[in-house]
Amino acid sequence: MKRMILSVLLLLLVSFGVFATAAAEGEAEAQSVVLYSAHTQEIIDALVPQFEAATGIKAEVVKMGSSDVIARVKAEQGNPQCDVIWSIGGEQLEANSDLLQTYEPKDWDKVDDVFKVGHGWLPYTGIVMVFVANTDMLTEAQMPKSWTDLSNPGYKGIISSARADKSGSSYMQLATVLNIYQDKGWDVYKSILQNFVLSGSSSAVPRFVNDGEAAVGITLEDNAYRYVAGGGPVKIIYPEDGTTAAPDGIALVKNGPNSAAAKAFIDWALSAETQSFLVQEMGRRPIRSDVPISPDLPAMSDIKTVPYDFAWSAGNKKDFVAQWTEIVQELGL
Amino acid sequence: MSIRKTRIGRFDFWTFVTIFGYFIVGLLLIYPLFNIFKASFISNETGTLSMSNYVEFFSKKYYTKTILNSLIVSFGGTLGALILGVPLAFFTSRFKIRGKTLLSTFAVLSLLSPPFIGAYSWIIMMGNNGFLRNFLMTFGINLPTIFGAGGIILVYSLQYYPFVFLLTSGALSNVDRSLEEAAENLGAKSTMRFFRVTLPLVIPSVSAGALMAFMMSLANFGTPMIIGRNFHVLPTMAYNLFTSEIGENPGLASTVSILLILVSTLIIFFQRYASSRRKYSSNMINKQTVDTLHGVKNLIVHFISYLIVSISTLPLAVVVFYSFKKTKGPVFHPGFGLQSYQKVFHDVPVTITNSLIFSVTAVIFIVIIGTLLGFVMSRKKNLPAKILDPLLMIPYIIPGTVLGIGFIVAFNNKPIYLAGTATIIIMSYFIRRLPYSIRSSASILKQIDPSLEEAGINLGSPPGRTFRKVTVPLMIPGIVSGAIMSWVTAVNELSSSIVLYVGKTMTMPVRIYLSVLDGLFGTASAMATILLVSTGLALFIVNKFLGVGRETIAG
Repeated sequence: MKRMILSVLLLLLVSFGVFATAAAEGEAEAQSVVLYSAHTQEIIDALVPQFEAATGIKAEVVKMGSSDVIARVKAEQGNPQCDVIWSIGGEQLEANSDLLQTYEPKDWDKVDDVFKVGHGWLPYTGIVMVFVANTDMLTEAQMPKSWTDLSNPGYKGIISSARADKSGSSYMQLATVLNIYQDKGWDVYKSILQNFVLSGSSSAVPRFVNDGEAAVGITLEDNAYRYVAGGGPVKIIYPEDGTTAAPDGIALVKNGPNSAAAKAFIDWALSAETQSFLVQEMGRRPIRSDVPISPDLPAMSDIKTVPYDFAWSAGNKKDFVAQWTEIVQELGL
Repeated sequence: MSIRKTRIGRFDFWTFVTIFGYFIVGLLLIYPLFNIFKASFISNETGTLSMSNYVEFFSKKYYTKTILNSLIVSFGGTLGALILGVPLAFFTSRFKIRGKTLLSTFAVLSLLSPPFIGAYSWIIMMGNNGFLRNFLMTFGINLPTIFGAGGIILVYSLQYYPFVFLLTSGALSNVDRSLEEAAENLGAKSTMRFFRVTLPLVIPSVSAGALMAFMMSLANFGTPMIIGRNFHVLPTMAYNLFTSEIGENPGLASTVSILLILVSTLIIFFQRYASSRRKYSSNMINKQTVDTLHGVKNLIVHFISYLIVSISTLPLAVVVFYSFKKTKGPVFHPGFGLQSYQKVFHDVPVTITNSLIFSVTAVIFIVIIGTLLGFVMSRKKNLPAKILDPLLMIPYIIPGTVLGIGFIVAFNNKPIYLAGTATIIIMSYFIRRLPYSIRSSASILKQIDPSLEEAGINLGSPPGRTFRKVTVPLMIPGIVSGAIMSWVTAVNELSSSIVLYVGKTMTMPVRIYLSVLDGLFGTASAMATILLVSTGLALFIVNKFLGVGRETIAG
């Protein structure tokens, strides 16, 4: 009996000892940088080893939804843990520029002027809001062509979208509809919303469409593109009544613990090599004028876009999300 | 530890344990949760003290419906867990079942399927385009999709029946055989004997298992998040209100959390009341034997046992299968490949090491402190112990996310800075899983006659030493099953670590969740498989070891 207790304890202690030494060995790194990111895990997995190989700096990534990133940085203000906010929606950075440290990166002159819209944060890549449709479930004719098409009752329960109170890109989609349809915006959006099945993350939307759990999804161009490139039964649709093309952001956190490494990370993220990789492998659009766009994606000039005002969308976010919440409650979503 | 000199006046070792229990509750529960409680009375608009959050909650059907929804799925899940867990426990502890160790390892493994990925497996099987559903449809069987209340109940039943199974088997092996033999000699048939004699004897353990299943169901937000669609429960509502940045309403989220706490406190009191009316204990003079069944009966018992475990293992099988599917980018293609494993190879070693260190450290503390507190809970009938009991059950029903945020706020200000450390994660594992150990120790103690301890004390042994020499050895099955449950659920803990982790403290469930969230089911499956294999292996060893231990006791 007693022997048994002893052996249990011994087993626990031995296993703990083994793992503890293993962990201690892994920790002796020279320089590191802490990144909070809303990037999809797939991009993080591809980019982090490249960054570490290029700079010799160890990157620690905390991946969260963009709202959670901001909430966390805010909560940690007294004792900042994060160095760089990496790839979250521009308006969230715009609305919280007091948490950020201005920084002018290397090669700032190579960045396309149209993307230099932020205060306290920097453009990272160009993103476009698109629809993604399942080609097995819908014929070409059945696919939605515009935002207003999405309100067709035939799409009830088969449109996948992220929650606008959770996902930065979903909020941008809401703001896009309001921006296009102005005073009729809420009517249009409400009629779309009643067809939605909501999820927490915008990155999962093309997965649901690819798997046939939803016929249509609203997401970012690059998320959808990875499923197209992977050979999935999906097609990207650019709304005829217009869409938003805007940069997502990268920013230095005020009083972050590793300021030098943080700046090195931003310089690396905006370098021509990294931007080219994001374009070729991840379907993103470059912010640098010296990096060409992917040949698989249409030129910006072929997509109908509506100018997007970050100050407007950031300033109204509280009201818009409150109204969104009210409609969601009314529809019982 | 020398306990001999701890008796000062009426202060004995157990008084010290009780005080320590209050200290833990104060530091790890009351202190972080106080902010949340305060916040529930602070108006979102004016920032002043008011009842406005409660008024808003109860005036909108959208919110009040979530209470009913929570109760429906929690009771449904608990009932399902009982229906699956009790027969399985009875069969495996009373009859000779081939491959029993493997069976109970797999049963516990289904606890292991991290909630998000388990639910996602069900979408793959039973979603709108689920393969199992499509397959059954070719035979004209048209099943509903997994989405909604029914699906949640199914997933809860299959996920939480191991709680009932483990606790009930522990208790069944401690039932004095003479009682059953007496019933048999008096002419009671086997069914009657089971319902009239055996079942009442193990009711405290069955109801402790049911309570765990209920509390886990009530606090679970992963499953309803993925397959609930428009069906909201209290934790998903609290989570949505808490984590949305702009539509955020921390006051209302806190109100929802407080209501959650209220509901579960009521349930705990009910369970205590129900089980305190049944008190049995034995000296365990006559140990249980295992019968060998023959013919049809044997076949049926084997069939049911294997069916229950197979269905609950199904989501895991799907996970393992998909981890080996060929992928191109995020898209699955016919055939098999190792691409999913290649993608995660970079950071799995660090992540799995973190998971093991954090969970094992937490479990060591849980086992020691939980066993001591379990004793206080079930043996000391004084007021401080009675108040402490429900307090220590609070972690059951605090949604992990809420506790995590409470921790971040409480332990990242003067004087304690713990954000980003392993300590804060271990602390959250510890406090969230402590109740398992307390519960299972307390429930096994209900079967141990206190006169054995009294005898020890009468013979001059101090309380602490009596506990070590007399009680603990008798409690071993309860302690070990509590430790297994604590560890299994700690190593799979997601909801508070998701809030508390930083890059270097990333754990496997967090990593898996992040991949599932992005719809990257291939890489998520690969990592879940790695987690499953490593924890499954550890469990198998412990289970085998425990089996040997049980025989030793019996011998």
